[in-house]
Amino acid sequence: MSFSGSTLTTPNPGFGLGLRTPHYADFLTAPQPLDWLEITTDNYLVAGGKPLQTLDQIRRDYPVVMHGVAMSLGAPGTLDPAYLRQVKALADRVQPLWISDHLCWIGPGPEQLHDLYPLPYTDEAARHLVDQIRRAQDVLQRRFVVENVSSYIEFNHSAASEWEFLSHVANEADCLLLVDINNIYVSSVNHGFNPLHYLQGLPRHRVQQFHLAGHSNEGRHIVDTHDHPVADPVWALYAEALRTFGPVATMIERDDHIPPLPTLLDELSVARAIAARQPHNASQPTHTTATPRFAPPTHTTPRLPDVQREMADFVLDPAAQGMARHVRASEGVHTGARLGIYHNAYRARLAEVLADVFEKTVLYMGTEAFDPLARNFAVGHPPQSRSLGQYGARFPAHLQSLYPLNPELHELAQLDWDLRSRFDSADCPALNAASAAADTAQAWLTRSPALHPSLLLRQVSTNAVTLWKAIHDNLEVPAPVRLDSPATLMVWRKGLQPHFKTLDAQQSAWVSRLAEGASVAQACEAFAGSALMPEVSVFGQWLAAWWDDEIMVGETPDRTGA
Amino acid sequence: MTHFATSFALTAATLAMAATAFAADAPKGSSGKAIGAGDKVHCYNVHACKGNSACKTAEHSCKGQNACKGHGFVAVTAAQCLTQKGVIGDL
Repeated sequence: MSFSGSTLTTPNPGFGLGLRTPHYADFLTAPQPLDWLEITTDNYLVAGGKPLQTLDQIRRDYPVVMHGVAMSLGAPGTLDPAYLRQVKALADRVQPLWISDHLCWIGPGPEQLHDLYPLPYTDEAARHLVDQIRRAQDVLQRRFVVENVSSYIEFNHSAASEWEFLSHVANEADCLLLVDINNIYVSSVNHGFNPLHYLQGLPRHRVQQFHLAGHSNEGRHIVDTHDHPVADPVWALYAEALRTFGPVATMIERDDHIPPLPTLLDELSVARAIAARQPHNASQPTHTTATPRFAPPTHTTPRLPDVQREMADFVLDPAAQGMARHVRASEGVHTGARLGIYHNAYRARLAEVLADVFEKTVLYMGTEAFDPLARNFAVGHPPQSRSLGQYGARFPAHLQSLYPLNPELHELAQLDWDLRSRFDSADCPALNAASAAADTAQAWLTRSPALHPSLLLRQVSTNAVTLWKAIHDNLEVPAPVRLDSPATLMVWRKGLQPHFKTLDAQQSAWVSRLAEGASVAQACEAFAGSALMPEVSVFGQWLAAWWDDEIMVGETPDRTGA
Repeated sequence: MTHFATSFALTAATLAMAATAFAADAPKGSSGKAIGAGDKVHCYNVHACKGNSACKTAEHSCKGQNACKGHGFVAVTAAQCLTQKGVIGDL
């Protein structure tokens, strides 16, 4: 699609922060002194539950921009149309000021390694990115905003500087730029370029937003950790950026060691003060950047998908030899160390995700036992989804294969997984006493399926539930024991909160029958005359409990997927 | 649907609705209680555009943090415990 209008960018909304879960309550309980919020798109590409409900509430009070981390614009092949549709659906819901993602790739496919990997600055990569950005803009129906990533390697066969490449792609795709000031600084140290040249090389009329963040200075190189306050050299570069581009929407990202909101608001006031001190020269001419003349590829120039495959192979196994020859040698930090950052970052990131999901399992095993296990799992089982929220489904089975004599361990992990995967499952009204009474001609009686779609049943052979509860309540954790006979565990979401409950043999038979698709009436017929048939008064108690627990579905789920 | 199933279920439902109306007064034993997963699950995010501070470079040893020593998972002894008979907790 083509866009019209003399001004490419959306008007500057001012100063914002990245919305992070520890600050949800601050935003829900009181107005906060900032102009807008940036959400991480991918954390809200979920079916339902608390994340979207909270986002809707916060959106009522603040303008929002959407910032993705998993579009993987530079990955081989065509952009995932299902992913683009998900982003578009979220945009329709949120009505963001703009939508951004990174000029990078996150995996070669089918593996999605969930790091922001740099691209070689070649004609091939530029053409590919321009095609992909145009495709995204067609689906999203607006100019897309792309961000420069920080990097630890440069490619031997790059034929332009990063800023020439970025400008060329933005001009050709007619998209906008999210200039991450910290990333420019990090890469300038890691690769030894002048960050002012970078700023001066960008098309000013396409700059929509600035990112600021902290990093970890390791001496000879810098890692872009987003876990510190913004560093002084980055503040200085921010001032330069304001002089170069004029006032631009500015926000601070903090993704680790997240401090209380007032601390970040104080940091944001530093940005406001720096911006207020910069002379605003509106008459400054628009930068024109020359199209880089890419050195023509030769028969030895590696193809982009091949390089990406070799990079992924290295990330998963540093013994893979192919990647090192593509990396520009440098003094100070050798190629193995540079690439090693990516290998370690991959394992650390996914181990962190697993530790988050398998919260009680970590506490049961201890970090020192869990962490290496999680890292090895990441190497052996790379994610294949753009959603990290779906990573870990196979981890309980992995624990079972590693520790076959400790079934309590994988059962505990399975409970962690089941609770987390109910958390953002699809919203669906539950049947309660009032809605059952109001139900037309007792429709609930013949409804199939009768159970809430979030509900699942598991057989447990150990006291894993007791272990979970003891860890949760911070009580002394009892020894693991095998049950006399397997029990049925029911896991579902009541309202916005995942719940679980163990069932006795009789109720287990009933709920299992319902879980297989039987209506309540069909189950009554099936069990009539058997030892599993309860007294009518007992069944009344069951129904009351089922309604109170919200395990029955309040309406026939829409199966069209609309 | 048989008459039996309908009348049985509807009678039970009538009792259930009455039970629910008085639920506030009914003593609730711990047995059969649904357990909520707790506030920690209220909000989580896994995606972030950051490098990882847990393990910055190839030279780091990448040891886990000492925040948690675990609640006693030791594969061998735990496996021995499992040979005992047990009952599920009061849930």
